[in-house]
Amino acid sequence: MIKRRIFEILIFFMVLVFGFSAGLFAGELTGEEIMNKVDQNQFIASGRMEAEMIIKDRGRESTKEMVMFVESDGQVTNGLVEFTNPRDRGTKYLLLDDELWMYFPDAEDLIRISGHMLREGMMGSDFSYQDALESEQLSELYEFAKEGQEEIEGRAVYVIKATAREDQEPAYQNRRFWVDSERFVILREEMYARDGRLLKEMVTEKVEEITEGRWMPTEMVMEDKLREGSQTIYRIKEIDLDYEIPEGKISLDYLQ
Amino acid sequence: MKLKPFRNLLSCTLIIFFLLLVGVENAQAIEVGGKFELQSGLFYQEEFRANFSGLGELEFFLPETRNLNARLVLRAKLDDFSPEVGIKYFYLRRQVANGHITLGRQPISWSYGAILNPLDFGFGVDGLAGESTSPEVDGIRYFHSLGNGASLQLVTGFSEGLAGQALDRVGYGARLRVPRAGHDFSINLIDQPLEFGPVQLEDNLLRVGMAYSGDAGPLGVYGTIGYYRLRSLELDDIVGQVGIDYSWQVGPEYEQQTVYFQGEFLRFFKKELGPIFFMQMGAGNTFGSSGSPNQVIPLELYDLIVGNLSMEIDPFTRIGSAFITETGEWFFALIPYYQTDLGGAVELRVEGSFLRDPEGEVRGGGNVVLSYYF
Repeated sequence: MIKRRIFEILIFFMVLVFGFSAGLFAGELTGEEIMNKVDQNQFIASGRMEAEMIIKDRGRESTKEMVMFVESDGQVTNGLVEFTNPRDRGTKYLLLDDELWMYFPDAEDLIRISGHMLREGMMGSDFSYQDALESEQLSELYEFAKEGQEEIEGRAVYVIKATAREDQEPAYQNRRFWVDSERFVILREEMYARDGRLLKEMVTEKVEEITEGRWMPTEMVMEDKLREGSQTIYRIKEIDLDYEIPEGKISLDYLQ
Repeated sequence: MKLKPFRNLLSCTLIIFFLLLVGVENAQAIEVGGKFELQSGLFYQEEFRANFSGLGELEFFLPETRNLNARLVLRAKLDDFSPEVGIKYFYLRRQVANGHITLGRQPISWSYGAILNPLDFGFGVDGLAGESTSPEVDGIRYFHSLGNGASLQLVTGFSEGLAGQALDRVGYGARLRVPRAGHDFSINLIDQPLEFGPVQLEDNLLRVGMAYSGDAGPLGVYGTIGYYRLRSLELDDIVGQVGIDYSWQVGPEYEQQTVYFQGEFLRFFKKELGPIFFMQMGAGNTFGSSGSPNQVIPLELYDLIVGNLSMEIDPFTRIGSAFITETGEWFFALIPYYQTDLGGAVELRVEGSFLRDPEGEVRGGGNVVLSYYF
């Protein structure tokens, strides 16, 4: 009877130990898994946004207002941006996969933007065209590794290091992400050159629950570290994630 | 540039149709925007001359409809205290299957990224010294989408208004455009009466050719090859153009600035119709004309090197210089400029111009332009 009792206690402890371990493994996400959750959270199949970009540099500022349409099938993301502030009203940018086209309202003409222009800031901002194009391709461009956990303004975050895959040449060789461990939203991001120089830093100032359980950054601040005193605030004023974009709106045909 | 009048029966009809289209109930949905511009300059040509001009543009942004849209842009100019009011753009656009038809005064630009475009329907200029022009065309345009961004455009332009237009003064144009990933290719055909030329020269200019733009590594590249022909005089020429554009960072770390360069070489191989192209661009007044009024083609012009070098000092300010030179008679123009956003939708532009004409005479001047957008 004593042997049977000891055996039962041993079984009990074994279940306890292995059960607890299984629970531990189920909660330990890899860097890849964390970024996949971020991608799922920020994935927009068909959406419309109204936003503004406030460009600041050494005491001066300029505001660009825009309406954006984004559609993605998970592999390819296309977008149309139309500026609505008086100076640039009617100017449109069309992002088709990795191509950028610009529409000039005065000439009613569409021009392909040369590849070297993609690394320049959009409308003078610290957000480059390439930043916008690559944001949807992170999993293809980088390998992710979880570095640890920290805290930003009371929120627990995963720290993820992203290294460019060998066969890829993204704008930034390395990146570091601080991802909210509950909401899977990027709260901070650093972008590095091949030689290790910090090129840009983005901080999320505001996060909103757009639909139940789905959080998205609605205000971000980007700083170009190579231009002292330069900063761009990107603020989403309105977002509709289930917007039915008219067929053909995000296309060269539509802009012509 | 003198404003083109828009006074005839068709214009009245279009204005009435425009008002009916808008309707009283839609009046609240109309937004109005535009710009005001003041320009003051000093120019030296044998003596100093000052000029002052103002420009106002008013655009009515109408709610878009599924099948029919309209655009109305009014323009007023005050040139040396002489006012002019006219219509910059005024057209109706009707959507049809796979395309649209546009009737009225409209911009027609067949650009491929070049500064000077020898195959553009309207002889516009794109990005020279930071400025672009796209001359308005009175006419009818049919746009047909061929799918995947490819398109066919057919244009009929009326240089003397839509009423009482002689057939031989009607211009025609066609453009087949095929944009693809990394490339943009088009074939253009234009046959139109000369707009600016020596008084005794009335002729039609035929232009046909191909234009291309793409990337060659880090460089943007573009070019064109075309054929020009003056119908009555039976003079022809072949035009070729190659151009590049590039940007790079300069300056110490944390103080970096972006530099942009665009340069192109354009040549008329038979040395016959280069001056015609330049005059159609409206640049004949810049360089002046030499020779007697009996000289049909006043300029020996067959090579042009055009370039634009600019630098962003900060997100609001750009400085740069454009240059145009001709290797035959060595005409030369240099246009330095400074452009800055002052905030509150106000922009300041200061530019100079230094010209050396065929006779070796040097002229120069400067302009200050203040623009407000609303």
